[in-house]
Amino acid sequence: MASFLDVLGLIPGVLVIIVVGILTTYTDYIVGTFKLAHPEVYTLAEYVKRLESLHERHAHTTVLAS
Amino acid sequence: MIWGPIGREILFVGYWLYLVFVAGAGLLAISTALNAVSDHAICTALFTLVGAATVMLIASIQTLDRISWITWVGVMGIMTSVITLTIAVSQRDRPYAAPQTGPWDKQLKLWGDAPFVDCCAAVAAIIFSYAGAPAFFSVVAEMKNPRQFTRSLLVCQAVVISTFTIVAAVVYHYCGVYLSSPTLGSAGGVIKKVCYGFALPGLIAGAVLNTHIPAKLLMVRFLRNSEHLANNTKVHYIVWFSCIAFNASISFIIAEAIPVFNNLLSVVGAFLATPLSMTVECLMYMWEVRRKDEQPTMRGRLMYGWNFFIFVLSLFAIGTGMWASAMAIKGDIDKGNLLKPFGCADNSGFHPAS
Repeated sequence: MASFLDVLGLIPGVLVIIVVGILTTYTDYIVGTFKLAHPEVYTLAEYVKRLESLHERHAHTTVLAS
Repeated sequence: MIWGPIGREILFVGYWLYLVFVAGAGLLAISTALNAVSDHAICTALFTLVGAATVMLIASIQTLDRISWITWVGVMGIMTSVITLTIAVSQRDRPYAAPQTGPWDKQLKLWGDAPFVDCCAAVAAIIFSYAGAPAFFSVVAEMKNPRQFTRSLLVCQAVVISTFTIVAAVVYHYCGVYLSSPTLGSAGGVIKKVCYGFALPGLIAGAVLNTHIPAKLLMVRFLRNSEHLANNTKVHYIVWFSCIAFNASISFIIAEAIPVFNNLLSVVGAFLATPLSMTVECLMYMWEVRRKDEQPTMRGRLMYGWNFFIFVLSLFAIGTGMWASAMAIKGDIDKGNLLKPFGCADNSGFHPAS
């Protein structure tokens, strides 16, 4: 980590380390809270696979409702 | 929408490959640590092999909760190691890599003046070292009390971010341009051995997780829709140990055989780790919002915008990170700066004699 500060400089380097830390904490949070709501999904790949069926079901109910 | 089946294959292969590369890097780090503590006692490729065998044995323990003890040992080890390094560099007159007599200047920079491509590489490496969002599916699945997820995440990340920041800033303050490469050797001599000795269990624990998880991905894939997945049958054990052996072998081979492995690892960081741990998560948020199709509130719109912002930022990071690592590989090839496959040379930094 210290070698990054030699490249970026102390001030921008520390800022990048903190900002990237906060952004990745947020993306970790998205995954964690999604998993809490959908315990049946075990991987990101499964999520993407499921997406299709979810959208189909959604389109279906929209048609029924209209 | 054909995203589903194709996207799933891309994400599966991408995540697997990403973990296999990180495990390979972990095996090399283990060989560095063994070189450091033993004064390069045997050929580095053999140390890597010893690391791969150890990791394979521990990673084959079947459930994550039964190997959680090693992550505790690992975390304690790594923390002790970086704290030792931080204190040691502050106690030294001069860093180990600086000229030990005569005038010297550590050239501390508040603002960097490195070329743009080097800055992109540094930012990409920082993103890579934080990458791990896809693993949170397993983290939540393994939690005793999943409702405490948010609190645990915040505590964990606060510790990680402050350790990164403080250790980096203090070590840089005392060493400046005279950081050793790898950094853990910056205090030199006995302290270098102490730092690597404490780090070793952490490096092993990391490689164990990064071998265990992709092996499990493969096993679940092979045994899906089979009674052997959840039952302790003979087939189950054979498939499991084969997956572990396969993963550990691939990690060992790519780490040792690819002459530009370190820079190729940076390509993996930009091309696989960044999209898998930032881009896809933001898309996930936006897809979920669209799927629910609720009346948008002000807060909802702001959150959507925030996710779109991180999404764009991550695309920028992927592009610049890949560009920077491609330039680094080109530089290595042009300068003939290539590692000998399965070579024996010491990878723990220079010795006092040289």
